[in-house]
Amino acid sequence: MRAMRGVAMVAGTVWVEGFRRKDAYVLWVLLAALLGVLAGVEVYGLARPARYVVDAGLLITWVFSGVLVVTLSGRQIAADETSGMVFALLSKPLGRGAYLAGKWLGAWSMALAATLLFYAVVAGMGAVRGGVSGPAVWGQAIALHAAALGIVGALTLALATRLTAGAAMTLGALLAVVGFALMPTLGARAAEAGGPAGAVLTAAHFALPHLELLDLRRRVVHAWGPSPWGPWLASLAYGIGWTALGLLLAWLGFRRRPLRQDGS
Amino acid sequence: MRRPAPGRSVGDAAAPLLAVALWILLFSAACLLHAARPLVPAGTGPTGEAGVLDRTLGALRFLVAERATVAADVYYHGGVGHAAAPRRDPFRAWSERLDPVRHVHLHGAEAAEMLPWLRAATALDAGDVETWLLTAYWVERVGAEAGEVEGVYRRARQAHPRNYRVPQQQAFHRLRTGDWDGAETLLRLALRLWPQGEEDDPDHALRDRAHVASALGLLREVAGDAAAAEAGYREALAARPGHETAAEGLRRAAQGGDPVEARRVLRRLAAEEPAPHACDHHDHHHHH
Repeated sequence: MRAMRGVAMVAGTVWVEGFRRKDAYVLWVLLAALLGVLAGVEVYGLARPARYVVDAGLLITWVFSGVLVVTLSGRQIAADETSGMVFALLSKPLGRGAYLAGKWLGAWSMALAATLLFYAVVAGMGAVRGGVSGPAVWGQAIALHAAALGIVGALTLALATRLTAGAAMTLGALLAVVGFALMPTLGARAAEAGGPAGAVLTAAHFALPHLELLDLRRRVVHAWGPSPWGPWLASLAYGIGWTALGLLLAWLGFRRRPLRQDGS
Repeated sequence: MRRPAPGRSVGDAAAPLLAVALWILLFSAACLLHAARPLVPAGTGPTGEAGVLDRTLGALRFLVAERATVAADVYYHGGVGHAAAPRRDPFRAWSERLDPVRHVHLHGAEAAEMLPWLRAATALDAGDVETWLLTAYWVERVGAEAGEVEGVYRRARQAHPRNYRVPQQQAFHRLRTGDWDGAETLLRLALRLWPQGEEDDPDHALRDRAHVASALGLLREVAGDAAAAEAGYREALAARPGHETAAEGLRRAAQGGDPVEARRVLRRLAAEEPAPHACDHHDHHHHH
């Protein structure tokens, strides 16, 4: 129970810092402005087209939520070291594992809260245009999106235990882009390449996270209805598993690492 | 060694975010301009939005236009696009159980969902006549106002003043709206513009010529001018020996013509005009 309170307290510090920086507000306003402009495009006098607005909105939501979770997770440890906050926190009865769990929880939950606001804007725009999917598929999509944010946040945090904030954020963003955009075709590329290059690509195909398994945008945009529950639950479990692995890597990287206030 | 100061959050990603935002704003502005008066008069160069996009995106706009056309096709198939040949991959199998792969087409007013992409494609690259024809076809089919359909044809003809396929397709649109005089004028224009040995697909062009000439024959037959109708049917048969409509029309014309039957055939031809979309079921990543 005490550990849980400690985790929640550390997560609270992430929220406070996040509110101070106002990242989420900026992105939210940017999303609303972009979608407003897109929705205002005149399409042959027709009121009907809605899917392109939802499609663009969900893509921007994925990009912005990725930016938020990467920046929030990647900068936490370095910032705490520079400010000395990490010493204050660890001087309490709080283990390094709980500290990391709190940092991940704070970054993930704040990115998720902002993401929910992004979804509200997108769904609202879609509803105004008259074409929006049912609540079940939106719920499924948001849950898997949350799982994807969990993975990216945990892996970025793991990188941040051993790298500078900038390097961790860059690599975290790279992992997210690869997992989202390249992984769906990596198997085919590996088969085409063959030889040692094919073996390396095959290894990457199985060793890196497949974020496309957590992306239900097509179902939402094209009104396909909810995904079958079996594959959906498997994807959710996949996301939770990768998040747990990321947190484990973060703990392994951080548990014995010397801490210095100058951040060196 | 000193660790650099922590990153500046969104500030680190400001450049790509701004690039995305600017692109969307530019694209939207170009689409808004699309409805406005062209900056460059027709026939003297690229239309207004093309000029704006040329200055901002350069050759990149052709690439984006191509992707927009593909996006329209994907939307027509309910978001299920083309893919490589099937292979054994557990992640792909998983993804296919999670995501839809069924082969569907949008119907009726729902097809309007792909029009924003076609609009983008024509704004970004006015030089692709196929996209114009596809756009005009679907703008009409989803129930847009006649003025909007005519607007697409007007811009298509500005961009392709020497291409016979634009007036040809517009003529059949006019037939469907009951403007038979306008249709006849456009059919004659299509015949005048017909490429004399310069066509990319000679067989297709000959088929088009036969189609246009037989439609002209039918229009003349409806007007009671059997001699002109016969000339139209003969021209169609010259382009395409054995053309069924023309052969039947020629038989009727030889007996003085049958305006009622010609009117019925003409209406059927106009109504049966095939969609420019040609979906090869085997190259899609979806199940039937």
